[in-house]
Amino acid sequence: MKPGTEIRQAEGQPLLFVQGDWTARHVDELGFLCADLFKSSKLVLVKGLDLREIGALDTTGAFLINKLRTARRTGTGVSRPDFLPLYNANPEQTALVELVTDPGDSGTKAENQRRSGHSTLLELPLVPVTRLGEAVCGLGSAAQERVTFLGEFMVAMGRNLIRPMDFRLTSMVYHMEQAGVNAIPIVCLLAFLIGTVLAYMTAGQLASFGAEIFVVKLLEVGVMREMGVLITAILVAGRSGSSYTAQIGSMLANQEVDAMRSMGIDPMTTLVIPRVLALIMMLPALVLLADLAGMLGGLCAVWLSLNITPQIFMETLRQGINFDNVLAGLIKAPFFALVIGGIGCFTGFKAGSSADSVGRMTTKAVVESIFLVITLDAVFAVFFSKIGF
Amino acid sequence: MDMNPDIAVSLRGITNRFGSQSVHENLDLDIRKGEILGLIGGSGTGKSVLLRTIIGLQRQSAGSVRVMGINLDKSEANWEAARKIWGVLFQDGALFSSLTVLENIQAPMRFYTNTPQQLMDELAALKLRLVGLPPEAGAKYPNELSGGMRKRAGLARALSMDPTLLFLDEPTAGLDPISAAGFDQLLKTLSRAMGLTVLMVTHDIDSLYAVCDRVAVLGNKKILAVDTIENLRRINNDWLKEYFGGPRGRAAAAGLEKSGPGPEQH
Repeated sequence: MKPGTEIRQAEGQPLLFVQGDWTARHVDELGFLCADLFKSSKLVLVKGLDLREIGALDTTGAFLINKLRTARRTGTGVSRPDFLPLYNANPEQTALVELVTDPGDSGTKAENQRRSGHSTLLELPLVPVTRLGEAVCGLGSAAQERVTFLGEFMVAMGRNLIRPMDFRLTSMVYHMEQAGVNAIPIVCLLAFLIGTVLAYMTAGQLASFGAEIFVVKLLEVGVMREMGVLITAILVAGRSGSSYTAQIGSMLANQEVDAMRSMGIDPMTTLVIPRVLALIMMLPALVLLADLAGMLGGLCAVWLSLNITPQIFMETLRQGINFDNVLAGLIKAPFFALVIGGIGCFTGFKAGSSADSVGRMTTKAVVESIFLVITLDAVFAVFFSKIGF
Repeated sequence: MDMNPDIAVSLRGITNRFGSQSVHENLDLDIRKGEILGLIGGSGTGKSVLLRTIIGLQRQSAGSVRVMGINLDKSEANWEAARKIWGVLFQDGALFSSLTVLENIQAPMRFYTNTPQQLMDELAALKLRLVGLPPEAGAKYPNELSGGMRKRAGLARALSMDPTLLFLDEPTAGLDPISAAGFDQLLKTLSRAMGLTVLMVTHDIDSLYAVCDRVAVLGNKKILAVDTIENLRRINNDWLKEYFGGPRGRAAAAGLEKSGPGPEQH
């Protein structure tokens, strides 16, 4: 039944009759009803509340009834020490109202706390500036944390070398399969497509100089030196780096890492080393496959568009190939693997125990490792050109 | 099939099968309005499965569930009506980890109503106080709370829409004895004052003695018995004898006799 109120004369004084169901189900209507009553001056005259016509009552309703009882006090500023009296309430209703009667004013306190977490409208334009400042100040400690983690990793590796029995071979092989073998199809497919695109795009340009045959040389440098390793690293960062973060993050939330530490098992040795080593070993292998697939893609593209047959393509490649280009790609791979695996695991350990934070950290790991991979690639490019490699 | 108006939940012929294995076979159970019913049974007897069946997380292979006269069958409208009647407290609170405690309590209100934010804040603060949590706890995230506080916060969320039925899955598991006793007391006070009907899956024998009006015993894929603890202790069943006559059962019973007569006292 719809809730309502009515002011009538009873027991020789004006009383507010509470009618209908005052329950959580009708909380919307009750909210409006009470807001209207607070706004009007009707409550000032009322000497009490009468519950004889009320239907169902629960804590939500009882809470609002209590608010009505105190409205005069808080609404008009007149100090009234007591609640308005209740008439004709049965014992259950009285008990409910007593249950919700607040000895202190905890409601407003909790609300204030809630508000204090949010920024006001005035502070709003400052938010980006504040964030930028925090980010810049945090850079130093962020770099320090990562270097510390790298150091811990190296120490654990050294300990592993001294005591090879501690090494988790099974775990490493498992991760080699997950991150390496299972990634072969997608890595090859993508490298093939990149090779095709690269050949198509350059073939037209080179043909206008009559220098079609240099497509082969261009593919050699483009795919072998740069694209093969970059594409593979980015794919592996998205595929495996993220899963490392999520795995370690949820293990942390499940207190599995705490359990390991309590047993004296070092999470660095059990969780991080097998994962990172698996990546370091598998990434060069994947890069080699990506190089082959990329060249194959280029071969198909020039065969179709420029009528350079596979025989000519292979012959040109064999005569002109500079193995430095292949090596340059392969040398970078283990470093990229270290960055991807290290950032993936490190970020996992940073995750809190909420589902939200694991998700956020996973995103962060992928973005950060791809960023670092590309930065590192640029450093390598400068370095190689300086030493003439 | 008309229902006795004093029955809050009625299960008839419930069968739950997983593959070829059945957990429940033609199970009947009635929960009376206003009572606190404990549900006990050995490991693997399907206590949680039964609870999940009632609240619809697990559809039964056969049989019918009626909650407050609503037949929970395929009709989505019936389910929707029933979900507004009950509140559920899961084992570890199952609070939404990305929301603060106050936001957790407000989640059902936000879903079912258009209550203005200020009123929701006030109501959530009220619920927080009802379950005995300090107001400061409202702004915290679930992972910043202790296990006992998480349970209380979960209860506050379950009570958010003022349900008439409350389902509790091991409410005192993992709590220290003092917190557990406090939680029992809270349950008893709240259910009395709010006129709640409670179904409580529990392993905690002290809890059974402290709050339950009756206890249902699961075993052999059926409800073996539903009765007061007094009467259950007289039943000639090996598992029940072990349960109430074992060291823990005897200790709980002794503790009760020391503190006063009957499970009714505070």
